Amino acid sequence: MSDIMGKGLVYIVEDSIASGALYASQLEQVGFECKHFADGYSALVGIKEKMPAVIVQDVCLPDISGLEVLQFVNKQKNPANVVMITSNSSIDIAVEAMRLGGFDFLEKPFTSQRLISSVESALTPKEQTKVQPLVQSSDKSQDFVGESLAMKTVFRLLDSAARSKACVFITGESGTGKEVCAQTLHDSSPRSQGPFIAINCAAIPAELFESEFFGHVKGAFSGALSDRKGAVEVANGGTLFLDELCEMELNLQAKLLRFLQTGIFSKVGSSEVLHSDVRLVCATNRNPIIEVAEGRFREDLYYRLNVIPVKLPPLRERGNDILLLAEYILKQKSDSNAKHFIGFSDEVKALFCNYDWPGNIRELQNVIENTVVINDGDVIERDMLPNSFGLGAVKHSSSAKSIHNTNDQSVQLSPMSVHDIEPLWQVEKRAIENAIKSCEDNIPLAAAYLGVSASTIYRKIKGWS
Amino acid sequence: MPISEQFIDKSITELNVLIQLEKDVGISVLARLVNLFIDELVTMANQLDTAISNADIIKIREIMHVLKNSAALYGAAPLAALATQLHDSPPPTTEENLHAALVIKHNLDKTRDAYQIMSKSIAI
Repeated sequence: MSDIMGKGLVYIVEDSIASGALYASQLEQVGFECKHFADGYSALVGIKEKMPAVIVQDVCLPDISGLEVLQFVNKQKNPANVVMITSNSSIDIAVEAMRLGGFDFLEKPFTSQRLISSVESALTPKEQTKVQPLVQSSDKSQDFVGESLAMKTVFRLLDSAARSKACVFITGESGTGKEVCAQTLHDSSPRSQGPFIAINCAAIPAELFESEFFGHVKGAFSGALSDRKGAVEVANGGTLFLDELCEMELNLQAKLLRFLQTGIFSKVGSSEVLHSDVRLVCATNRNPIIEVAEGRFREDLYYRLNVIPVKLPPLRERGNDILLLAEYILKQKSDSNAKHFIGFSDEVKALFCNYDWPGNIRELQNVIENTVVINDGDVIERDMLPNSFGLGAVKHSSSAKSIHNTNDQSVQLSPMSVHDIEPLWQVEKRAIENAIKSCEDNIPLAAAYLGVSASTIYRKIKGWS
Repeated sequence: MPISEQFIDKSITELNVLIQLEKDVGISVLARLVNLFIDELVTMANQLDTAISNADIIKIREIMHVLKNSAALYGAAPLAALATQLHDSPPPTTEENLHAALVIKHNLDKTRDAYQIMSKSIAI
């Protein structure tokens, strides 16, 4: 793969002679050898004769579709990584290209720096970018276990996503393991040696967000006592995970979009243009389509980020994964607390399988940890479970009669005077405060039972004050 | 000779784009690339003439696909904007498409002439 010029051979497939020659010149300046093909068929012949290190190609070609070229490349032995060039009007095709194994896509207009960075990232041959088995990469990603059909689909999607640099958008209810999913994706990607930086967009005050994200220089604002690198710069060469993305303010969404389009940014208080090569993984427990429709999330940013959508199923839809996860977590918690639990009684297993788990895996973890810490023995029995277990809904009330079911309460509605109707925020406030009190001021635990993330609770509390 | 304000028609060309290109690839490579761009404009002008004569809307759209990007890359912003508009939001009737194509053809010729003058200046 390595050629006379040093960095490697790049094929540019672009129907405009002037544009193709410009891309080639920009890459040649930094040591690549380039060959330009003005149509798809001549590119196929060139690829058949000699596989380059990287292929940069327009998705719209005069004779055949750019997707056909991509598929042809991927059928060859030792296929090159393919970087797609797209205009705004052909973004759908680019998204499809990423699903078919494209490495990255550049949206016109792009800078020479962005082109060079993308091609350099794509230099790693595909054989070396094969994903690692998804549950064996790091301690944290081992938490991402499952055998249900729904999870097998997720694993397959992550397998193909790990090979490319495309943005991944993870959705799922609170507690379904979105951050663990992002970490797993990072660990199984060619970027695994680079940093994994996670940012919770809901936990950072709006006025500090830009600084957290892009960094600042000394004196940029009161309190900026020294230069500070932002997450984008720190994550260079690795993965940047943005949790609760839909909480990001619109003006910051515009800045994120600009960074995604150009790969460049400036620290707060500086005009110096910096570059960072990061893979972006985002997550939200909201429905992003509704957020877009209601104007809280930019549509252009959504399409830019939603290249590979991954939907994590709620725990109640994962069948036997509930017990698989429970046993995995029990072993972890027993080891870390020097206890000797080896399993669950049949009654507990039945309870677990019939419970709805509104707080998902986070709730399961909390229930097991609580039980392990307080009790001793070999087997977890029903009476060892915390009293608060089951505050959420159960799937089948007959099999778990002792569990208090809040849904049943909500069914017992009686007419009231309009003067008795409370504002919704007060009802919500009381429900949250009660949950926190019931969980002895343990906000993460209360959040799990309420089926929301802890940061949502913190945000609500801040809002009331 | 390096790119400077005196060589360009600001109503046709964005100086900062060309200055960036010069930084990226050097003045001698840029001079060669500008000539390739001029050649492409000549080719597209001929193709556009034929497409307009034949009322071939599909061919016009194909030309616009190439033109909108290459014109933007070489700093011909007004031409790129016109080509983008016709490519991305074509008018509903054939007549309106042909009229827009004629307007673009006129701008394409003007752009070619301006770049030819600029090319001679930077070649000195």
